[in-house]
Amino acid sequence: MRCVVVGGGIAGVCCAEELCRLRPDYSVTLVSEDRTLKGVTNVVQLSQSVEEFDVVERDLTTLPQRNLRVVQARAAGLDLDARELRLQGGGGLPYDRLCLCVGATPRRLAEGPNVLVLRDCDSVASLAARLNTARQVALVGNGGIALELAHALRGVEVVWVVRHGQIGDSFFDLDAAEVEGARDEHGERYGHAVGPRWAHALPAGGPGGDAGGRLTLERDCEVVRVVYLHTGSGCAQGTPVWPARLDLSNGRSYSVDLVISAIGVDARSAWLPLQLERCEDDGGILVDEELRTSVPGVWAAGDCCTVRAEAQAPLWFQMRLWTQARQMGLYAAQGLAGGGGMLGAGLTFELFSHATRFAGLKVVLLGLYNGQKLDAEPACDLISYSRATEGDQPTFVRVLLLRGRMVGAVLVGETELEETFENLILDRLDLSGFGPALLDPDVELDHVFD
Amino acid sequence: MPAVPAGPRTYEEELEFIEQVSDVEWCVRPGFVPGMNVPGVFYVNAALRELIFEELQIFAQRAQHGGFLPAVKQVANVAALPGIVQRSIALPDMHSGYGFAIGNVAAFDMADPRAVVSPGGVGFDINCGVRLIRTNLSEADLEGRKEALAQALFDHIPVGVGSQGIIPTTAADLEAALEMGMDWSLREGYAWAEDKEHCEEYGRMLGADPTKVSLRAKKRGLPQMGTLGAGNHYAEIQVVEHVFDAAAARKMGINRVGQVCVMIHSGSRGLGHQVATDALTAMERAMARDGIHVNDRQLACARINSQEGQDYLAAMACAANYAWVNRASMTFLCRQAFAKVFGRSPAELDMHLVYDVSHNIAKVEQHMVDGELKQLLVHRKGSTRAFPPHHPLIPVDYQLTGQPVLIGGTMGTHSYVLTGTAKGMAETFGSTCHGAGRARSRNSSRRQLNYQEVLDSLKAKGIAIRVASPKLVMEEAPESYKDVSAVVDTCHQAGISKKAVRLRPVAVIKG
Repeated sequence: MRCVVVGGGIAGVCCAEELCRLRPDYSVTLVSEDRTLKGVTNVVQLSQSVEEFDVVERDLTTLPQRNLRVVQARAAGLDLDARELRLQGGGGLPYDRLCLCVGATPRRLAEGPNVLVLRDCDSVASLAARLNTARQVALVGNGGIALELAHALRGVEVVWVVRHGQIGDSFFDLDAAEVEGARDEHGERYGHAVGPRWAHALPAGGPGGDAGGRLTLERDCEVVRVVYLHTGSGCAQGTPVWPARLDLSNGRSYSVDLVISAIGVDARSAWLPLQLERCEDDGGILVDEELRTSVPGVWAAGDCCTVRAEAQAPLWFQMRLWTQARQMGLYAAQGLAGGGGMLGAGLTFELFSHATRFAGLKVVLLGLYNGQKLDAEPACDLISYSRATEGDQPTFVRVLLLRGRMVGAVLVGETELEETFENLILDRLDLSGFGPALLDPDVELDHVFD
Repeated sequence: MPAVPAGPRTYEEELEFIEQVSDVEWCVRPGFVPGMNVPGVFYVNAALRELIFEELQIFAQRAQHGGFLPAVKQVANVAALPGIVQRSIALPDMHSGYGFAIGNVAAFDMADPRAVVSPGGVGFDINCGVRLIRTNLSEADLEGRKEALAQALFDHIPVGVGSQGIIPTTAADLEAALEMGMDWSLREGYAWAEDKEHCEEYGRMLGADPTKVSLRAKKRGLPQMGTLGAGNHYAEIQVVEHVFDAAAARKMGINRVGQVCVMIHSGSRGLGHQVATDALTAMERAMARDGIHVNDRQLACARINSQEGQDYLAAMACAANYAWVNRASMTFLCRQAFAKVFGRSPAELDMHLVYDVSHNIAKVEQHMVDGELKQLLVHRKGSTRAFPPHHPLIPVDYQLTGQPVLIGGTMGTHSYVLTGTAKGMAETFGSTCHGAGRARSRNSSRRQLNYQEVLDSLKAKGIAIRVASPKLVMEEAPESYKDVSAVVDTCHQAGISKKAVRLRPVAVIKG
């Protein structure tokens, strides 16, 4: 059996390695554009579905599997009838089964030398270098990367443009963010961001040392345009020269050295034949609950795919995260290996889970932690309890219950509750009788449900 | 329906039902809750007593609305279950649980057609338990190697499904493990033949029927097979700190202070949770059909001989087998880690299993009830079987000493080895405490928490009500744990088990 995995990111590498492990009798080819592959190391299982890990870059010659061949090439086309992947510069790779793990391209707010698109480690070095001379930067976006960055940028004035009413909407709302803020003022070390520890690469203090720059938050608005000003041309002597100006939908304008764009991604699917169904919104290759595309023999995993809404379990949703890239890569490998059997992916895609760190604190997100997918539920059926504890080890816990059943949780700090909450969510036990006592800090919940 | 008091009782009125029997034993008289068939009993010494009564006082003050029931109320509610015999027993580490208190023992007469089995009486983490592995190493041998050893253990602990798993498992393995328990571990080469001898039930419950375990439970179980788990689960390297009973210790292969042992605490995790919740759901329906009334909805139960009752026992046995496989797998990994660090085989290191105990389980056993030998279904939740010397169900090596009982401290505190006694057999269905437990409350001022209901349109997403507790200062409080020594001392003083060895942790590995 000839299997071809396209993409040297986390989904692709995890898929290829797992496939080699599952089927030593298959010949597996991994196609990567770069010499360096993204791999995963130090996987720490926080609970059944929550794991933390580091992303490492490895040379493509270092993968140990004997039945794995790595081809450094760019995929240029796909002939679904001939079952052949076309490579740029000629040549092709015939396959029996194919897994597309080609990733996504960050959306770009605007073109221009002063707009930096931040998506992963690739751009961090560039950001770090440019921050050294920056006076004021604009940060646009409201995802995890933007949130982490807002905490990580020091010694520089930051204008943070957020389309929603709340900070960190994609991750968790102001409640949890407040705990982060409290922590941040004490000058704690930076943690790693959505996945890898990319923020470590940033200069710790900026040019002004540790003197924290001001953070200006612009909520509920969007960037109308970025205007580039020619450096040194037409500016009055003695006034600061700014390379760019940001015009916002609320009428305000800011002059900045740098615009950091973190507004999401589009799947890299344009080069693929149209028989592969796509999602209209993000161009993602549509896949079912087993990560199969609309074309037999072709799977897709990671950022390039979009899981069909009807294939998503009630408490799971897709977010283009390193954790999901890994899970999808591993699961797609089971499909390529000939089916995962009755037990399939277990409960990996039953419950959304993500672990990350903000400002040095562990953050675990479970299920519909922010009320995702619950718009249609009557408000009276939803209840949320939260608690914050202060001290040396501050924690924040928030749970969301739908008709007495826990459907989501946010855990910040060392709460030691991740496994208990994961179990409670998966158990679908009626917890309404406990009321707010569920979060009573005097009650050891893991003992009660032992 | 039993008579229900007109309104919530005051704390003083509640106390009228509780009477001290001895220094360490208290009796809860029928009437404390409606419909009690037998009295309740709890064992606490002066140090632990306050926690129990304080919990009840708070409950009375908040006029019984919502929240967690105090353990003593739960023990009494269990005493009201159909078919319970003699008494509902709570051990010194008792605290509030789901339906049954943690630390509650209750036995039901198999000959009584009304007698029930209740998943809440077993707990969610079915066959959560502890095992102790001895070595012939001394604390001095760990000098300079502690870090390497801890690291080796970390490296060997499997991290679930995927390429990092040390012990690969398939769906077929899971089915076999559910049915065979440690016989599977033995067959696959992960356990020693003599390990089985030192496990309750020889590490395999015979009533296990994997077809009674739901697909969802299996899905939850597969990736966790052979893994340690989070929360209160751990593997701990310990050294013997004190030997109370040299003769008993010698039988266990423990012959000196400073001897190195390994304790593993783990259970059936997500699979057990799902087996329990599946049964709770099925039994709620059965209760309506069979007209079973209970004081607390969490006490969902079914007649032992009903389909639901039998299905649960068959699935529970599978979960128990799965938990033994987990502990056996971790034992295998610990032995490998030690062998690697010390350059000697596990056999050369004398890494034998001292014993393996189950904390959360229901078993059919024979006991004397009012002078008559009866077959009982004994529920032990957060409680350890502690059979006396000469009991036929304990291994030959321990016939003279009584069954070893392993008491894991809350991670990082002392652990104990006890032995079972004849008095325990007579008074507590051969049961004793299981661990440190956790106190619910230790600072009465903190109990004045005013949970404020704050209407807050938090988000457009429809979170309607936000109830936040006041921000609290989390205190570093060793007293927040029911001191494991106080728990063990109470059992020793009550005579329901006997102290043999105390161990001190030197390194902890968490899953």
